[in-house]
Amino acid sequence: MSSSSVLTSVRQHATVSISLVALFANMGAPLNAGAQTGSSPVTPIQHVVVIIGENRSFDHVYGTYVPAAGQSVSNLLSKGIVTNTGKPGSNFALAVQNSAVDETTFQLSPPGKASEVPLPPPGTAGAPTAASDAEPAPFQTLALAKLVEPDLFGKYYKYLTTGATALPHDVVDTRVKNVNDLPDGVFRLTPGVKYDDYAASPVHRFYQMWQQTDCSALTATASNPSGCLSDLFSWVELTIGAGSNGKARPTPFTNLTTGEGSTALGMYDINNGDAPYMKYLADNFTLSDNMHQSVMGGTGANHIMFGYADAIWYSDGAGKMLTPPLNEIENPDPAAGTNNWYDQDGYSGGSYTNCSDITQPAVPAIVNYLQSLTPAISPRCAAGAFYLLNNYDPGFNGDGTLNTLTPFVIPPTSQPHIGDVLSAAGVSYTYFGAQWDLYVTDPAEANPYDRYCTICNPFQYASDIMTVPAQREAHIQDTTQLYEDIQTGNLPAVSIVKPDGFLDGHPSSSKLDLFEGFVNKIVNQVQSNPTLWASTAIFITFDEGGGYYDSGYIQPVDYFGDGTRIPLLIVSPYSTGGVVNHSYADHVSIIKFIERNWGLPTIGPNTRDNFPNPTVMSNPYVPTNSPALDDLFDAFNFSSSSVALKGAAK
Amino acid sequence: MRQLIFALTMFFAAHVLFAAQTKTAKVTGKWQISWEARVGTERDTLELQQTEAKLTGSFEGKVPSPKVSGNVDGQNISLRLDFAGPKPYTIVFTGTLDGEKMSGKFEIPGVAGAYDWHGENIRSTNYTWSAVRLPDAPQTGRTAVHGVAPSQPGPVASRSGKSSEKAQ
Repeated sequence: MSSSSVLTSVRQHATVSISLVALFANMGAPLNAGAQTGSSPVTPIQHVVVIIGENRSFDHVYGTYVPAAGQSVSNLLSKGIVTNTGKPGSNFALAVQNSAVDETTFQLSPPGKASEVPLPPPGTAGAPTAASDAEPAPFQTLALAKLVEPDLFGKYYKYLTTGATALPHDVVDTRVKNVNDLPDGVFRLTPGVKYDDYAASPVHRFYQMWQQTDCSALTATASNPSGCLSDLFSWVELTIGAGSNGKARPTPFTNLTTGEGSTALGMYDINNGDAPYMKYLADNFTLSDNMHQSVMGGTGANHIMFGYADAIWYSDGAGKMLTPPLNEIENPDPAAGTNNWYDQDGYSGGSYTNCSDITQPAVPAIVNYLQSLTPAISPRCAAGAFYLLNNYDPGFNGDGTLNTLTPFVIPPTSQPHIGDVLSAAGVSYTYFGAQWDLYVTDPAEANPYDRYCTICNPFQYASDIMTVPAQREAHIQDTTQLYEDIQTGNLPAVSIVKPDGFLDGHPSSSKLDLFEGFVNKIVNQVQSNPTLWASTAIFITFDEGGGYYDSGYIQPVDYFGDGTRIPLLIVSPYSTGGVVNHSYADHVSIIKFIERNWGLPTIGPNTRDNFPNPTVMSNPYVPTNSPALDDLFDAFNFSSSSVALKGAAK
Repeated sequence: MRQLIFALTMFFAAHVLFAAQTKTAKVTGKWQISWEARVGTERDTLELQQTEAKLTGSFEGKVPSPKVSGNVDGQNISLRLDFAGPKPYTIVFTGTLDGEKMSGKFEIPGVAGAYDWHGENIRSTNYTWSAVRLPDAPQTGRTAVHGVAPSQPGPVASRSGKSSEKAQ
């Protein structure tokens, strides 16, 4: 028996070994609409591959996309916010950005709004200054880049050695054309900042993004019933950025103190050469222009929502809710004497909130807003639970030991996840994390080339996976195993694929062209196996918009989100033709697709996968039955057996 | 004459004191070394063997064992860990010995900003390290170092102190 056969056998046994915890947790949970019982797929899709990149909003990538004849898209160009060359359009005012005043308590829609012309210039933040093996990426030598990174091929490798800014950190990004005279809205990054260049990363934390989207029932309309105006992106970047960590606001405090400036308003121009592989996939398969990050904010909480259809909370590690240390509790109220400098928030600071307690900081602002909507939206907050809203490391190291490497770790969770549901039904699944094998032997990432993403793996938070070696072996693997599984035809039913930090597309530490290379390699390999290609759907999306502006409708579904739109490409023989799908979706929609395809129950009785599919009236983007999430079945044409693009590797 | 004797006495006293201070430290034994890596604090056990000024040794930890080499010059210490494997790298620790503790700065030659990027945020990593002698170290090394008792505070206390600072 080969090593891959052994692994496959282990997976099969592990999936058949029903988790009693999961079984009991899901007893009585309703089936999705249209779901059937049993573990055989109800469509020709026998394999789902979900590839999750990092930090790009829909308009940031597809803002000028022009779809195939007969299709329509909602983006900056179609709305007239920009022209077909990315310049300000006739409706540029729709994306205008404002400053505001928030000096007492955290407000979702603070008063005192005023347009700022010109837009405060974008900064370089921490984007790399020079190509150098001394501080990769970019690498100085191609040979080292190839040694470190196995997940690319061909032409893409050279992008690991290019794109440094040639500018210091935290200064005005003078590569942007007319950087000191920008209009107060979106601006085109290219050609001043080349598509292959590194650039700053905007803030993308929970309360910051709620505030950036500026939601109020007072501004709700029939076409925008959530009343979110998305007009404070720049102001939040400038006033608080990525958080205070409980420290006093620096003095002096300028538009560049956070390092970002107005980075959030930068956009690529896919209509004029940027993101060519993303365009190729959209032109030939199916693009969603109504997919959203499921949680306001950043990487960890969004990957958790993808795995659990819920947020997870602080506990004793054995399922009992606890109150976290004071310096780990969010308090985005402005510090005394400041305009919007959060009192306690940051990657080494506040990240939990008990949203069931209306007396907690920031909770009234969001809960009252949700209750003021028509219909009112439940915060969906369990009594006493302190939910993790921003990045903390998972409770386990890769070898199943407890993670004690840093104070900023959420204890192990026993909350149910999609893996429990799949295992209970005997449906195989694996999380393929790039550099997993290296990380298991290097949990603190002492190896400078170890860029495995700890916070991205939803199963690394889970006790029922991480404390059982056979479960870890069955359900968490390196991407090297993914390529072998594709070649040998042993791909699990559900594969969740995460690139490492060099290739995930995250601005500042990665680039979108590197993520394109990562995706291109996987799509090519699946297409080169005709049997596999005929039975596989590849969902390509992002964890969140990275804090970049987006003009799309945001549906509030609970306390945690949704957030801005993100790209979603659906690549399969049953989703061809350059179709643009408008159904309202977020990460949990992919979970709903999996559950419906294999006839599975929901993860829990109150998780987001219980939300119905949207119903709409004249506006296809706005559900009339909120909270509602599409299961993406309507992105496929299963009546056609067309495999026209079989082998059409690019 | 008395002045000359006094001057000579002072000269020899200073010489003896200086010699004592520059006497090469003895670091043979087991140490717990820790440094702040990208995702958290790396803690490993280092067993050093000293031959005059040269250091060799072994390394125990989750990270695959590196080749250990180094030098001692007075109270100054330089350690080099060469990690092999498909993605080889080296960490050079320099610092000073202070009783049962060592501490200083480290660098990863060729990868200077190695740990500054952590997931979603850039943080300015403090490239410092520390080590504490473990209680089961050979007596020969321990008694020679300023006569400090072997039961010094462990590395947990030292690391938690740093962590608390970071959490503020």
